[in-house]
Amino acid sequence: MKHRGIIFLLAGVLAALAIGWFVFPLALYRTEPQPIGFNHAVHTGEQNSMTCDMCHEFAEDGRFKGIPVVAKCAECHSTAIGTTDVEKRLVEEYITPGKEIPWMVYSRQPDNAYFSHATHVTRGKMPCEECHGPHGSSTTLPSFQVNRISGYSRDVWGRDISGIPSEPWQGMKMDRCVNCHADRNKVDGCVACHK
Amino acid sequence: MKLTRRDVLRFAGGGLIGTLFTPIPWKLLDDTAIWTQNWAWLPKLPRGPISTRFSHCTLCPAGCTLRARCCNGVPVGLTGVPNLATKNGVLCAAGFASHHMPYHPLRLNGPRAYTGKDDGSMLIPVTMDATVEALGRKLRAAASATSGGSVAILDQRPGRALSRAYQEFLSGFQGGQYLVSPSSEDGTLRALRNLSATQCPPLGYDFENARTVLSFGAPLLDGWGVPEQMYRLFSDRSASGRKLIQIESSKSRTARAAASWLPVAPGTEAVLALGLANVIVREGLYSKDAERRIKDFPRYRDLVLRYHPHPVAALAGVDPDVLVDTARAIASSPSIVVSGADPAAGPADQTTEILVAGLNLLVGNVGRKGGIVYRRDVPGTDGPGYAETALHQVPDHSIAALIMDGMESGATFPHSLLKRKLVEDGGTVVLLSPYLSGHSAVADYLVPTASPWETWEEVPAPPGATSASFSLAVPLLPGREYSVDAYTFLKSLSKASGVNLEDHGSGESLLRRRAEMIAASKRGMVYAADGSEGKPASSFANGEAIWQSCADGGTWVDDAADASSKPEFNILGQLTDADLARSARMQQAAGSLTLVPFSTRAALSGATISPVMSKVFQESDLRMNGGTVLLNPKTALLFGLKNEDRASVRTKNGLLIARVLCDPTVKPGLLHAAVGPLPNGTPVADEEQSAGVLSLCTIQDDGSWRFTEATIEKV
Repeated sequence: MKHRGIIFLLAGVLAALAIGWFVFPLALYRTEPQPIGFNHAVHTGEQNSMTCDMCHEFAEDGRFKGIPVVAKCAECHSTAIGTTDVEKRLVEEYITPGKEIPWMVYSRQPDNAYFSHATHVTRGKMPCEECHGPHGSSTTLPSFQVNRISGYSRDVWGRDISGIPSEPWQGMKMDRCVNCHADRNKVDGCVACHK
Repeated sequence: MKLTRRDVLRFAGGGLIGTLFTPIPWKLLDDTAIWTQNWAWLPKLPRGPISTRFSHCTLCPAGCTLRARCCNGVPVGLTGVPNLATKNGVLCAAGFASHHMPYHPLRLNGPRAYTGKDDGSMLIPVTMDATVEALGRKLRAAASATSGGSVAILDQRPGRALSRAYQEFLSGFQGGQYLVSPSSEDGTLRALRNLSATQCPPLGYDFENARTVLSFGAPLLDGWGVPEQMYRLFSDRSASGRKLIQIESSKSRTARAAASWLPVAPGTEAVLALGLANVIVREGLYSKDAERRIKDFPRYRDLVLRYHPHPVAALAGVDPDVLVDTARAIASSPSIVVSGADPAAGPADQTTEILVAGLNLLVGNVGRKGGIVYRRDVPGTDGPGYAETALHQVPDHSIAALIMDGMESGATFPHSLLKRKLVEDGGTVVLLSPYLSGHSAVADYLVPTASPWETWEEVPAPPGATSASFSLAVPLLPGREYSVDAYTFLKSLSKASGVNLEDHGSGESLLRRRAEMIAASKRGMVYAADGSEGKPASSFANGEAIWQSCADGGTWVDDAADASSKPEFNILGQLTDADLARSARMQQAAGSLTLVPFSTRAALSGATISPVMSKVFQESDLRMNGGTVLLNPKTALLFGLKNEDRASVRTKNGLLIARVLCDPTVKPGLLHAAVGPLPNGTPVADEEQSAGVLSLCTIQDDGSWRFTEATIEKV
């Protein structure tokens, strides 16, 4: 056959591309279930009209409290609201025994990275959506995928395996912080984030 | 179609090319790099509730109050504690990273012994029992009449309850010597007490109420005492009227910040002190009390009248009018005259120390508010204690066995000084330290003690403080199984060497006992770390309550001492004519320079600080790195050197390859050599660099090592 060599070469290239772009991510990440489902839209929608900081609140000293503790949930869910399975599990497994929900955290960073929500939200007046996207209107939690090598969430790298964010809020790598700061003329040294 | 080997290779080649256009190599590279940051043996920050604990820093004698941010009880971040009545806490760079110290790569993880005393000797692990037994034998031998020396303990942080236990231990040996670091800030105070003909209470500098402070090279604004307090006192001189006059051969940080700077020729400080005394005596500015309290006043007066300000000023290289004005300034207001004690350059020579102390006596500074005030010891240690001698002041070859306590805490000295004090065959040296620190090189035995944050440690008053104080460094991390409590080790040693030592339990019980004594004395005030008003110690129910307050970061501060004491002094009693003759300008050979070491407390090459901070020091020039020499540009030109050249600095004691920096504030003919941090705080293995600056210094007859003749050559 005249182009036999080229065909095998291209076949190799195509096979590698297919493995690299489609099979490799499946092998690299393992999916772990969140302990319980959560519907942000129910909370933030018209019926309840809650804002982000009603649950993800700031302490009096300005510190960001992060994921709400179960006591916060219990302020409304001390008894089951509705009859869904999720609601039943929430009350029976966590709220009634006062046990914290072991959420898988999408944004957990290495210990040497310091990030202050207070600085960005309170002082920088950045809306939550600028970094978190339309997360508040989601009806289910995204799948939690763990990098088998580094141990960090896939959301740190970004959902797209290329590392090129398809949406502005995707990815939490250092280049994202640096680019955002550069766009705003915020020049920082290493110790601003690596304390 | 038959598949050939060539087809397979082409397919593989295509696969390889294709892989380069996939995320596989790049993502794997990134992920494996992150993976290496998470290996199981790397220390990890704990997860858990955030809490705050107050404690005190033990890296140097300042003992600054600090606030530790703890995660799951483990300290992860430190800050100073401002607005305290006791110490207005602002941490230095080394203090900010003191919580790194338990993880220091140079930590000793068991007792070690050198197999010999030559350069080829090896450091080998030994058991604690074998160490104690061997040391017990050696201490008994050292105490015997045939050893030619005595047993000594070098306490690098005197004033603690443990220091008292050391003194008690030494009293079991004939001629036992309790030693302190030669570079401590209380050199002038020690000189004054040595001059006293009658019982003299402990002394402190009352900088707070002084109007004029005359410093003979003391780095008052570069790490002295509690550094932040010193800055606060002298930074607002326009408001306070407090005046600092710095006498120093180079324009140091202190000289820059002083109200005036007298750039003297090195080695002429003693003559200058006599010239100042001359003005005070001739103009009758001395205290009326001085004639009565200085027992040898007529002899002293006759001596100083030989040093007229004009020839003295010419010799020292200063303006005679400035000299006269300076003398008038210290005589006309509550003043303090203080000398020396650079952490690396060590004490001033003995003659200068005595004459500076004499100036204080002449103008009536001793026992006066705003001068050098009396203070009391911590309750339970009042009364005559064991004689305290600085290492450089003990007779040569008089130590047969030496126990060195604690890591170098803010000051260092040349190892040649130590070798000179040991008996001819080298004696036995034991180092109690958590780290393989600078002094490890001269020790025969290394005994690992707990690092900061792993054990209760006492933080006594800083050197020169006006009142005794008591505070604690709290243990927030579990102790390592291989480290020993210094007091427990001392008890084992006393048993092995047949010396009686009262058993107070552990090091912690020794401290609790001190808190009990403070409570029983009902003296002083206890100040909490939250900045609230102090409470009288008498209002605490018992020692446990005072202990608890101190364990929460509080500090007990003693009341002011009775100022009615009037000890008498002999200024010239110990000085000989030969000493005075030596105080004249040192002779410098043609073509040579005078090497003057300098450093900043807690930034010494010998001291152990966090490797992170030593790297910051190294890269930032925040502090000069060890192996940097400063020269006047004119001097540099004479020797064919320019900025950033590499040069070999040679003295009769050795050679050092150094980095040259030209600094117009350095007096011509001087070679200021930094004794600063080396990479990662560790000695450099390079043979040429192994001779540190201090090893180039010549130890003078009085034990000081400030000035050494040196030559420099471009390499």
